[in-house]
Amino acid sequence: MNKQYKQIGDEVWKNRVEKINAELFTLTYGSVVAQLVKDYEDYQEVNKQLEKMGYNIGVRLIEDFLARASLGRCADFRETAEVISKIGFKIFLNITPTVTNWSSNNKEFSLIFEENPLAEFVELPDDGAADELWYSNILCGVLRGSLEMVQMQVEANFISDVLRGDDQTEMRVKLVKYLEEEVPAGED
Amino acid sequence: MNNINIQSIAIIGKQNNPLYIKNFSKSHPDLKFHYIAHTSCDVIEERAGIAGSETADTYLGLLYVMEDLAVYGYITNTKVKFVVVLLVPDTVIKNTDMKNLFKKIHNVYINQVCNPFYNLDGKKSIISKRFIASIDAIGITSDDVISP
Amino acid sequence: MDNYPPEFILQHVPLMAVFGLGTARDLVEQPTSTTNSVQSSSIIPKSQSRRSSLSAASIPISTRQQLSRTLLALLTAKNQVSVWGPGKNASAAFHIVAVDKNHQFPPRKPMMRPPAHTHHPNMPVAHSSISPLTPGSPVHPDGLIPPIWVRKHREIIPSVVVGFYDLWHHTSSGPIQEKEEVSPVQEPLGTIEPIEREKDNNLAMEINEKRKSLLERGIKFSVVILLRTQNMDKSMDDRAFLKDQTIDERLSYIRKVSGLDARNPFFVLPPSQQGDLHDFVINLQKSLYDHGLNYYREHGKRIKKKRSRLPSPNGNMRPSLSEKPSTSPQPLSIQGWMIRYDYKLATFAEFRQDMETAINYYESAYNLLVDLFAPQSSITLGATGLPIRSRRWTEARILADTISLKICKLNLYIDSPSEALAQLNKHVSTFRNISNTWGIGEDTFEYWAWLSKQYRIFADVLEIATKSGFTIPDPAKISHNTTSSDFRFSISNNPNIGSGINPSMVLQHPGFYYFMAAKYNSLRRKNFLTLEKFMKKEGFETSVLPPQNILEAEQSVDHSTLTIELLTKSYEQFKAQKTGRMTLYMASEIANTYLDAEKYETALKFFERIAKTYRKEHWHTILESILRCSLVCAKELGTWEKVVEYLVELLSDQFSISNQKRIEIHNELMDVLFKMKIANLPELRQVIIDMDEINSFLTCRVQFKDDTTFIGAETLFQITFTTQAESPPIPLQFAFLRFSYNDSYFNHYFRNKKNGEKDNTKLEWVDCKNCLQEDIEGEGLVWVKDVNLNFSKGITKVFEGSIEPKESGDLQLQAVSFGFLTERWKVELHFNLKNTREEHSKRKWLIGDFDSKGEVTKPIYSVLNGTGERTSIKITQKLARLDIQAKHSAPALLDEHYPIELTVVNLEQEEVKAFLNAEIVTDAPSNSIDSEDFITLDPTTNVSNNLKDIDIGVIPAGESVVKIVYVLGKKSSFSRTLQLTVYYASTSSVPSTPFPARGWIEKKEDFRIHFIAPFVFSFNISPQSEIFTTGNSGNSLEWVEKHLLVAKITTTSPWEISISDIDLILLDQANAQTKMEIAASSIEIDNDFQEQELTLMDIKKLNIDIGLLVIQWKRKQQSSVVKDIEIPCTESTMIVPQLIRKKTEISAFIRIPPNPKVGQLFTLIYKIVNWTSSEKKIHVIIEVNDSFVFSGYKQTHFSVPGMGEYCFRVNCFPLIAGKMKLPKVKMVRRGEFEGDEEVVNIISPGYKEGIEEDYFVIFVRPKIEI
Repeated sequence: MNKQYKQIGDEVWKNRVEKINAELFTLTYGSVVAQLVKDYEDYQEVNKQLEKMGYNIGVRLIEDFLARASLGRCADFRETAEVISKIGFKIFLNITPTVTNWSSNNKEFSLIFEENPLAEFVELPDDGAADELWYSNILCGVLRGSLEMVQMQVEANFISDVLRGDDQTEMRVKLVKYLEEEVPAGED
Repeated sequence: MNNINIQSIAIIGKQNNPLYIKNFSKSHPDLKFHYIAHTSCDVIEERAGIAGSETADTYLGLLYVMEDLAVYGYITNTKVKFVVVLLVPDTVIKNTDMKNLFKKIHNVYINQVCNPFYNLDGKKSIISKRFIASIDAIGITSDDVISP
Repeated sequence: MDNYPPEFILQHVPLMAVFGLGTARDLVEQPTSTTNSVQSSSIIPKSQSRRSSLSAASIPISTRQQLSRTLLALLTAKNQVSVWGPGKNASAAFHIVAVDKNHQFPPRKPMMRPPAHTHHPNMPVAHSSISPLTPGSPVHPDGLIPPIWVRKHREIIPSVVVGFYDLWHHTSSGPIQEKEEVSPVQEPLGTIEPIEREKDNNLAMEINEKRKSLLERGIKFSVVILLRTQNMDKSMDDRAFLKDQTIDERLSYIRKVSGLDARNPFFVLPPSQQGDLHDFVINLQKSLYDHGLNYYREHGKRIKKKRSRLPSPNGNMRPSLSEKPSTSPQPLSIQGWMIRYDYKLATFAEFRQDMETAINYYESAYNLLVDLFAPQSSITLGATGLPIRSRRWTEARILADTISLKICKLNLYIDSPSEALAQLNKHVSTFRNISNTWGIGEDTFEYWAWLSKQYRIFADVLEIATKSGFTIPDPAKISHNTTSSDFRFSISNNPNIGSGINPSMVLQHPGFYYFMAAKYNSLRRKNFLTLEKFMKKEGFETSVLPPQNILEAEQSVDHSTLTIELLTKSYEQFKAQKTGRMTLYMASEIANTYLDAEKYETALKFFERIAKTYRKEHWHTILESILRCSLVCAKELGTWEKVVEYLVELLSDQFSISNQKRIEIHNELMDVLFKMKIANLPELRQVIIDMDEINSFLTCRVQFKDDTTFIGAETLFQITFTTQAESPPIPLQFAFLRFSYNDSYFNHYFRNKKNGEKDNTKLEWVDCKNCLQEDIEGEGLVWVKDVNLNFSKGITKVFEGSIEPKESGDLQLQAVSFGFLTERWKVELHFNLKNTREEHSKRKWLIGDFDSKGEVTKPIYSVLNGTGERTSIKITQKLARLDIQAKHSAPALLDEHYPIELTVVNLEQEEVKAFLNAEIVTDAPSNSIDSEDFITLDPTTNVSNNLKDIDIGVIPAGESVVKIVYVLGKKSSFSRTLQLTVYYASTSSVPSTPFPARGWIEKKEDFRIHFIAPFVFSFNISPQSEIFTTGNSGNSLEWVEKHLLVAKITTTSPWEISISDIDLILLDQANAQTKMEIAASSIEIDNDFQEQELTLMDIKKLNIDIGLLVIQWKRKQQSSVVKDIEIPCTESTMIVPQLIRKKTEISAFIRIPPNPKVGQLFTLIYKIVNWTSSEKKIHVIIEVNDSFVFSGYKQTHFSVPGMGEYCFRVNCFPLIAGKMKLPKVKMVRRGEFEGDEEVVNIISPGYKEGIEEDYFVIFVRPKIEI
């Protein structure tokens, strides 16, 4: 069924998405982060802010997403993960991070970003940023926000980033709980 | 291309402040290339001044020759200057080769500028590892070509 | 260039010899600069010699001698004895020498036998004296070509000879003179005298001789006949003369006989002016030029033939050459001859200005020559190179250098710069290789000396070339053909079309070559020094040394000076190119050379001058090297202040130097400051280093927390110091830290508190509050505290302090400086805060919790409003929280004690002690000093116009105090301003010092008070009656006059006024006794008047001061402000206007009887008084009117005795009842003479009805009363 998601993703990306110039996008995000760093002088704080922004984007973006992708409710969290990677990231960033490292209880997975449009050109200043700043933290917020709108409370955060010199960029997504009591279909 | 033996690459800011100067030569001291880069500013500005009017060409060609060194110049439209110093060969150096060389340097510089954390109006020289690595790459490769 | 034989360098031009004008020697005598250009073989720019020709042109031409001189001057003026030729398209110009009339040119050696044998020694052939084949010639037997040979053709053997002759005439000097007398003087015009014929014949012969002799030498001969005015028979007009048949005939005759055909040009120079002569000279050269060129072409042909006859050098080469080393001199080899011929060919080509050919021959000669140096010749197989340092070897090298230079020059000459440069490169590279084989290669000073020389002369030639109009191609426009590796190049406008450039072939301006020369010269020095060092050693290999003479020569050379000279030349060139940074580079090179030459002072000057730019443009690597050199100089010179300065700057980690190096600098600095015991140091050295001017390892930012503050309020500031990441390498202990304000009262001075444990806190908060005022010597009274002034690298210290402003204004922190104090030094690192550094970052204030050591554990920065730094703060008066109100019932009246009730309300939180200052100020322009206004607290006393420091006691918080002040305005009814100042302090902290001083808070309030005068007075004085009475001493008359004074007093105030008393105080003027009664019974007068009658006696004066009217009054109900207090009456005074009496001679009074009735006669009595002692006549005219009938004359007259009086009666009979005008009686005093009349004014004292247009009016009662 991954196949099918991939097709949807590609299809939407091809036909139903207005594209914008990648550099413009990257530079815009870049300058936002840089400005936050200037203003707060505290990377932890910057991470928080980015996450918040992301959340605000997410809660709105989800509508647009569902509209474009015209999907039904996901059967389970694994399916959600697939949709996020193959359709979500595809149609908004034209990338498909790999979904791996499922926890035994299927409530936690990792997204591995081979490429990251946000981090193009970026080189972290060597004043400790490499230890504290999660440059792309906005993505975590987006996921949290959007999933919350479809009754999933998740925690998302990066655990490694090539910008910091790690060998891959990995985001950890953890399902806290479904916000409604109704048991999702096909759970038994 | 193989007669191009890069001795030094210099990137100079719009206020004629050095951003990065790399010495690839084995014979000359760094200081020499700093002087050369600095003196080049005059010629570059003069040339650009002339060219600036009709053909805003960024490639300025041979600036001058001093001792065994040929100095070439290039200026971006944001008035950032690139200087490449070659060992004078006794053959003709193709402008196209030099232009490509400068284009490469320009691209490296563009990537540097796009880094949101790079402070443009700072007079400090560039310390970005990635930038330095790529400039070195340009210098070294051409060096290797002729070494055998 | 000078130490090459000039013949080898100078440009060749055809040589012309002239005679019949005297020789150059004659010219020398005449004082014109022309001679210089004739003789000197030095390089003279054309322009100069041209100028000299002009000066020559300024000689009057009358005598034959002058004429010839002028001609000679003009001819030799433009002699081209310079390195650079006349230029491709310059007009045909000869090099002209003057010779004696019967000068013998060196005999031409007889034509040779077939030159194949020329080299054959035992062939008895005559050779040119300077041929290698002629013993005793400088080149015998194997020399190549001597300078003399070139000189021979430059100076001695001409290509053209021009003879100047005179046409004979009667006055011609000589023995003929006598014959002259004999012959009959007058000849018919147009016929030639036999004597003339004879002379002409001789002349022709003479010319013919010359012609022949020169012809066989292949030299073209030409004649100029100089005609003199004497030639024109008597007629002074030369045009007429030109037509003159006889002269023409004579000339053509001479020409015919002397056998000068059309090919030998024949000139006639009629007497003429300067300009004409000049043109003549030009034309002469033009027309002969081709002949000149031909001559050299012929030579060329000849030599070519000879060269072609030479056998190939490989053929019969003399075995001797290879076998026995040249102990006995060997004849010149074939190759030698080839060089010789090629050189000659080249020279002749150059003579005939055929540069391309010349270049070719020079090149071939050069190549052959170079081969001679090779250890194994490639042309003459088996031949070994010239023995090193042999005479021939030296000659050959000189020849090679000069030929190379020629090639360079000629290439420039024909505008092919690349070739010129190529030749230089070729020359240099060839001889580099050869030199190495000789063992005098790159490791010897000789080589570098030579190399430097090559570049220098090249630069020289290039400079001369550019001066004479050669332009160096713009490298941006050059492009070389990629494929061919030869030196052809093409100009294209766009560098990008051109496929590329060969940098080694781009000719640049001389500056670059001078620079090279300089560089090589310094290498020369280096090598020489090493050699000398080497020679110092014991038992070194002497064989490697160059010959003694060369060594000695080199020892005498001052290398550095030479290098500097070259660099300076280069500097000038770049300066001309306006490439400022290039000149800076040169300057630094010069500086370095001075440093090497141990001329430290000059060096330092240079370094300091150039350092600025590099610092400004952030070229730290360069700056570092300059600083290091400067450091050396400064040490050598012992200017330790500078040493310190340089070391401090070098600490900055802008300079990418290893930590180790930086530590060394650090230690050096410390040694200079603390350890070093320098002799002849003054006891204390003060250095102030302006850290904004240099690269500082320490940065300083200042923030006042607020923009504004109040007097007496605690004001906080933070000064943040940040050291660089890499500097100082070792923790640095400052002795003190000073904050200097624009008000020195606030200056802070912190001493270093040594605390044992090494603190390596990244961010430290230093408490600088509550300092104590102390008097530090050298600092004055300052706020002192001991804090930790230990700085290690990569840390930030925030000094937070506080001040309490004491007066309003702007308080600025002007400077912050760190200091070292040793027994020898006081060094200050000075941060000047006056010139604001532009900053766009937000203002920040460090808060957050600090541990005991002041380390900030959790730093938080609160963002203050605004950006950048805040080095100054605005101090304003603390707002007084106090209110002043004033109650009073305006308007105030003048003269009254005007009460004002002041209410002071304390709005402060605590109770305060308050004082009052009050002042009353008139709006009147007049200054308040002479104002008679008063302000007082007690209406019964008038103090002054201000109140000071009135204690209004303690006012509890929120309560208020009432104070009444009385204002007394006098005279002018302008408005007044009441200026109030209440100052106070909280009872808890009443300052000891009186106001104004710190601690007092003041509140100002102004009130305007409108003043009006209480009354308006108007006076009216009218005479009543007067009579003479007998005074108490019976025999004197007294005059009594009655006047009625009516005073009208009107109150204008809106307030009711009660007048207690009105009093007329009469001045005791002539003991006037007065009776005054106030008509109105009540004194409550409002807008009404009261009158009084006064009698004055004994009038002596005319104008009489009556007195003052004094009114005692007060407000009817006094101001609501004061109920309980009784305000005393105030009195207003008014001066009664003077009684004005005019002195008359005659007065007339009328007595009008009371109550006349219709039909009842009554009499008007006019009393006329004559005040004078003389009798006066009075003329009376009476106008009748219809309301009265009167009896008597209409006109009459009478006289009044002196001091007497006269009564004149008019009986009137009233006809109509009512208000009637009395008949008008006009009295005129007659005078003694015409016109002296005076109308007597008639007055009726105390007459009620008054007067209507000088008619008296009377009320006539009706006849019957009902």
